[in-house]
Amino acid sequence: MPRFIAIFSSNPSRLAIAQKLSPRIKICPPDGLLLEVTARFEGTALEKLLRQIHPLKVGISSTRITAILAAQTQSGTVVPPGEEGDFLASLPVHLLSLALPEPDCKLLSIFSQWGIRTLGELAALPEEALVARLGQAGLRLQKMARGQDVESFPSHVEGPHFEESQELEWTLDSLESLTFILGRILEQLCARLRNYGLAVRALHLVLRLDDRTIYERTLHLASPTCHSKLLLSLLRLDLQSHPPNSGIVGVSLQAIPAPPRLIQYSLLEPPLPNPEKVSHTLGRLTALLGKSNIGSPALQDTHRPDAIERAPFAAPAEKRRKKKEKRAAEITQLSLRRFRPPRPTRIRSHQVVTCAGPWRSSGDWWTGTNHEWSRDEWDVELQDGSICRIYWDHCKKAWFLEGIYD
Amino acid sequence: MLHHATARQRIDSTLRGSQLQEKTQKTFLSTGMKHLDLLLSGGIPRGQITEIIGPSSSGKTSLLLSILSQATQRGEVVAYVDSLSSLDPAFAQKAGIDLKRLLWVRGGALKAVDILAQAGGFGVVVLDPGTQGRETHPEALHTIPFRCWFRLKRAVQGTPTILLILGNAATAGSAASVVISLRRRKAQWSFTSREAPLRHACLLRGICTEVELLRGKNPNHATFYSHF
Repeated sequence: MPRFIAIFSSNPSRLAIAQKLSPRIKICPPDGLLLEVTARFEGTALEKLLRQIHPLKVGISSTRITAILAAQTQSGTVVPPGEEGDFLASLPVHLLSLALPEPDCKLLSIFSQWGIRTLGELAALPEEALVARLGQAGLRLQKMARGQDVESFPSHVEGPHFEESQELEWTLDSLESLTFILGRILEQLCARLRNYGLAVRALHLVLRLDDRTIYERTLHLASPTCHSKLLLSLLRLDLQSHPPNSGIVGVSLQAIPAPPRLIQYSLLEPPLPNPEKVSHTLGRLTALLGKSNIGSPALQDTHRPDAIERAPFAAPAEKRRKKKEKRAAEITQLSLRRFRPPRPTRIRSHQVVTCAGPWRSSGDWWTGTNHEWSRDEWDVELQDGSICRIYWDHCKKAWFLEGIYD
Repeated sequence: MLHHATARQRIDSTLRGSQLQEKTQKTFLSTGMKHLDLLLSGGIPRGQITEIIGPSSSGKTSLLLSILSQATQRGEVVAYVDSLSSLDPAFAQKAGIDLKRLLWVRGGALKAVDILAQAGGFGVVVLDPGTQGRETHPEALHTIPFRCWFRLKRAVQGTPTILLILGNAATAGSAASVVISLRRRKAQWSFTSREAPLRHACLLRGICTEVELLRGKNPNHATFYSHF
């Protein structure tokens, strides 16, 4: 038979301690917790754990409402099963507001108008007459006054923690030996994740070094996967490009879980890259060129020229929208090849064959920071045949070559 | 006995026919331009290397963005290896590219292309060696050993991936199946009036480009316009 423990405390570690008692926890704001435990938890073990929480108001009962009211009125009370009604009978009616939502609290004032002061008096009212006057809400309050729970327990179940650690008796100096240990750890982690029907979204590697420092790396995957060989390969690529400075004496690897990505392939749609291959490819490219150089371009919501940012690339899994196929024409969009950063330039008038402009633009002058920009743009055709976009920067008082139309 | 021989002959001929058909069956990706598709007998061939060459302002980037736009609109994922980070995503979006389906790799060159080609699944992989000064410098590509291009050719062969190489001049040699050469015919400017000074226009409208198929099925000419 389940038992409920109500804990009210301002101690910030109350949730961590409560999780040692039970995974089924309901958080009662602002500082309350309601735990569902089995009877075997009661006794010295429970007392030992609860002593760690200070200050503490605690109540234990077979029903949640009784446990909450016991904790709030007589801390440390253990209400035996079947005696909930007797325990609550002497308590004032307004205490029910501790376990009620705001709209139901208005009904309590009606009871005081009727001259009902205690929960025992409320419990003794005839049910039919109460329903006729207050409806189902009145009946709910009466059941609570009798020590009965009226709602199911919406428990907050903490997910399992996927972390494996290994302390080493000797110092590891090479990546090869570390790979061997990481391979074993990853196999264990992936097996556990598969049991829960989960995959790895990110890996957090913590290495304890022999110079008593901690070396941490976090690896975010393009799509969740549970293939230990692929994960090992990605970790290895990452460590090759960012090796630790000293020998390794301890390894800890935490997997951040996520539901696996399911893709419905189609016979009619073009094939998409395999998500695991994409992860591996991105890992190799990141090791080669750095994280800042790999991704999808994304435009910022501003008129500032070349305002772009890098978004992480993930092969879209959703089906493409049914669009009308663009009919082939003879006209395409002209494009610009940019110079990053724009090049300072000097253009003499005899070099210019044709020009168009200026187009003045400015922005961010209202922010009062150094990000202000103001410029006059020109499109110019030069004698060598190239068509360029140049601009006069009002802030730097200089000409710049922004790009070439191509 | 005669019956067996006839059956064997029939099976052999059927097999030979299907192999032949398989060999000649090619899939293409449209360039987005009708005349160019006709010139290329359907579009850019899949599973092969295609080079787009031409001087500055010849319209090769516009053509490239048009091809990428066609691929992403079909739902394919494309990769752009941009050695000097010269791609303008704003123009790419205007050209119709779905930026979420574009993997933009800044820096790197042949090694990055090799990784992407080996990975498979990308509709188009682009190698853009970038611009130095005002001219594209393909000298760096000329130093690449010929066997590297064949390695890339082998990587995409038999897959739906197109490997596109941009440059001033053809560099991949016989590893490239198609070489498209672009030349700017004229820049199109709009003038307010005929009396206005010739050198000062009102607006740059676009570029008219002449296309020549240097290597391909039916070498010929075509024209397309790149407009704002």
